[in-house]
Amino acid sequence: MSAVLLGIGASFFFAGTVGVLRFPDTLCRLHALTKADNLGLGFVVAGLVLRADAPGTAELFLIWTLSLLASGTSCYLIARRTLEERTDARRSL
Amino acid sequence: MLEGAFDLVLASFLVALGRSALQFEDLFRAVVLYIAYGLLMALAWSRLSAPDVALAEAAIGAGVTGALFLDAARDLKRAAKERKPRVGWRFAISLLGAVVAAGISLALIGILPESAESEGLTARVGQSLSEAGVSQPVTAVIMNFRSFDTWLELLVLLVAMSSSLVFHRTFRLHTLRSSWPHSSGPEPVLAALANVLTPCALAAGAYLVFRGSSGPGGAFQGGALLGAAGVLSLLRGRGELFRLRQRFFLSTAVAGVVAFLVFSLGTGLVGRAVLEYPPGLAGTLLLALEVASAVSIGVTLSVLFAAARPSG
Repeated sequence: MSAVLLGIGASFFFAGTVGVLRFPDTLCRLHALTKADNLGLGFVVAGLVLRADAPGTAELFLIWTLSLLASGTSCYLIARRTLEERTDARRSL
Repeated sequence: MLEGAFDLVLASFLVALGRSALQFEDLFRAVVLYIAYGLLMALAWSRLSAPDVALAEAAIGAGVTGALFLDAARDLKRAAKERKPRVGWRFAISLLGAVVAAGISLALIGILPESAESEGLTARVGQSLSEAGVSQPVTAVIMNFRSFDTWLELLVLLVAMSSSLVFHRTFRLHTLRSSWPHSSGPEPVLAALANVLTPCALAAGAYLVFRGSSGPGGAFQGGALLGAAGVLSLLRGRGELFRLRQRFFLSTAVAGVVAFLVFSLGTGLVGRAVLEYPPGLAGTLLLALEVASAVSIGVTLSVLFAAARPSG
């Protein structure tokens, strides 16, 4: 069961990486990166929780929470900066 | 066998990342690849059963150094494009690099069979570990057996911090303004994240310092996390470092060096060898020195990052 969850998580990561490499635009790539990678991380953590003991489970949840916070914030910041650059580029036309 | 395959993949990724980090002219891309390289290197260290080094590599090598490089890349973008050196020079330098790499590989292959059987210094450290005051051998070596080296490393950090402050002409930390001078305004999301994460990073750093006595951790790793907490507090955009005054900083930055100085004078005056721990108090004194070192490392890393920020 744990291996199944880890495999699903790995496939989400793979899909996210393919999206980052193949999508045409920064904003599209952000979609692929954050959504797929966060889902992948959730599955990987779920798979590892089945194998871990109690302190390990707490550590895994902490890692998952911090990773969600960090990736969400950096996704927002990148998106904001991209929008600003586009607006500046349009204004200067 | 699976582990061998994993190690092989890791090693080849390291080489590939190192090559590609040097390849691009776009500095931002090169820095991002360097940060990824640092994280993979931390993985490699943990595969080599060196968790202390892995912690330090992840925090300092990938984290703080990556942040400093990103700042430098942003400032260098406005500098002039440099020309590539001529073909002859490039050939000579790559030949030299290949010769050095071949020499090192041959030397490693030569000593590898012997080193796989010898235990290195593990036996000798293990014999003296009971008197060292801590149960983690790495911390014992850093803070007790080779404490003079650690003292000098702290001095080097102090010199680096002072040179950075002089170089950036920022003796006044209160001139630091918001961390996003090019964007349209303050970043509330980043400020909220930094508000949440700074105390977490402070707590984790303190925990690592205290855990160094019995497990992977110690002054450098905890200090690196404290430095990360300082960087986070700068990213809140209010131009203040943990809400402290500048005078307080420069004095906490010297705490490590001064603590070692006081300790060496103390042991000298009492009649023991310099920097020799008295047997009963070894654990407590070592912990005190570790705390002082971690504080000064954290402050130094934060100031190194802060001095590179544009002011005004």
